[in-house]
Amino acid sequence: MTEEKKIKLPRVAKGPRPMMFEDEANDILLSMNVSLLNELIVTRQRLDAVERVLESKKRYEPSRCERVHAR
Amino acid sequence: MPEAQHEHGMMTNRSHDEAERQNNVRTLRQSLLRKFASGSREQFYREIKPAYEKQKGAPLDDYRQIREEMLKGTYMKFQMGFHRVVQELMFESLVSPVEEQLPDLIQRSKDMEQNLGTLELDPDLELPRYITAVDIHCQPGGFTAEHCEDDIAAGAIYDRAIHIYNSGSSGMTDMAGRIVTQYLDAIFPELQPIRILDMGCTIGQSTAAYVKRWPDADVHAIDVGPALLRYGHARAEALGHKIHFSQQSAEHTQFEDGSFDLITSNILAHETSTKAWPAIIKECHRLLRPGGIMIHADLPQLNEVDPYRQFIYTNETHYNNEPFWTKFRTLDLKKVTTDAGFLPENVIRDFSQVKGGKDQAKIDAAIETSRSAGHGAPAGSPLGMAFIIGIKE
Repeated sequence: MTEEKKIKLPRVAKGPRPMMFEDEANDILLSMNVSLLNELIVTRQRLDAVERVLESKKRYEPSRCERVHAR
Repeated sequence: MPEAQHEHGMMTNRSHDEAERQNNVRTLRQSLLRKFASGSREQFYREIKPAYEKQKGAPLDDYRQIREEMLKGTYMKFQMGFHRVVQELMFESLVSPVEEQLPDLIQRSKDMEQNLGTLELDPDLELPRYITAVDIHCQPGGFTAEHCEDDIAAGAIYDRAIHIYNSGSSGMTDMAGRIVTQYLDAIFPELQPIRILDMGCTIGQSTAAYVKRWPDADVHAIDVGPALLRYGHARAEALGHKIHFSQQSAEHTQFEDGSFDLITSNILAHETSTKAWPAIIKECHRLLRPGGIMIHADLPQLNEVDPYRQFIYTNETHYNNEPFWTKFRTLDLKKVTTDAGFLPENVIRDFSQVKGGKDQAKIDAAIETSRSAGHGAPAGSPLGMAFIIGIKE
């Protein structure tokens, strides 16, 4: 049996990448910030989905979360 | 409120997180278009422009100078940096699911075939440099890349991208086409085209609006990107739209003289070049039968908007990989059209030139639809889409 080789699609667009700030590091930090922001929202939405599922199964009470303290 | 995208048989599947990732990009884009854009506009009119004019004793009305002044501050730098990052994130959120499902999507594109429409590819077609020089709109691989046999990736990515880019303004993503049909209905109420050609159709999402409006017409759609066309064909078959797709350059097609009643294009013009556009208009003149109509929809030219809007428009060149954008926007479109053979009295430019006996309410509705689709770019635009129309003598 031959395994099909996975096709890789490009992730970066061809063409010059404009930099806004005198120090390129600021552009990179902005990029990282917005990416992290996006992933944070995805995680919160996931958490929201998990809570809804658990709540519907009556296995979860949101108020109990508040009584769990960080160690 | 954004409308959810219509999930037809060719859509890439999304996990919960993939869908959220894409939806968030849409939200970030809306904040860019609304909050950031109105913030910088206010900064320009309230602070930057008066300060400059007071100091220099001269008006600040050149878009290049406006750019220089705006970029002295932090706000605009962040806005533009954010603009670019959001565009990159949009494609990042779209490429992964397509890559993961590509073999399945290709198989599905074959299974969709029900011989409603047709697909003709031309592997020997020379791809225009204005399409291949950079990846337009920052879509990795651009409009023309082929990654494997029967590839449809560029089309699959593009389908969900239009919905995000237009802030979810239309579930069928055929808004741009509907703007054209609404406009045509208003100014040519008698129009009943038998053969229609849509140029630069990508995946045929606007072409679908013409099929719906004129269901008995013979509808052809051309583009240069093979993966876009394969996907477009499968998408049309999935949606039950009869469209004949072929891989051709709008500059010189294989169709016979006088073979169309209506030729359309949607935001194709600014992706071409100052040399290609006149050639495309000449080709339209050749392809139209006497009395036939061509209509090309795009954003206004630079001299049709105020200097601040000129600055905003020309930013696209820098931040959205649109190398020909600014230069194209300086073309005299009416002159190009008459040079191609259309009689001056048969050339119409944009909404403002439409006079007498026309249904203004319908035109206003078309402008409003265009604005809400985001085509008018940042809010406060005096114009929606601008049309160049030619009627063959």
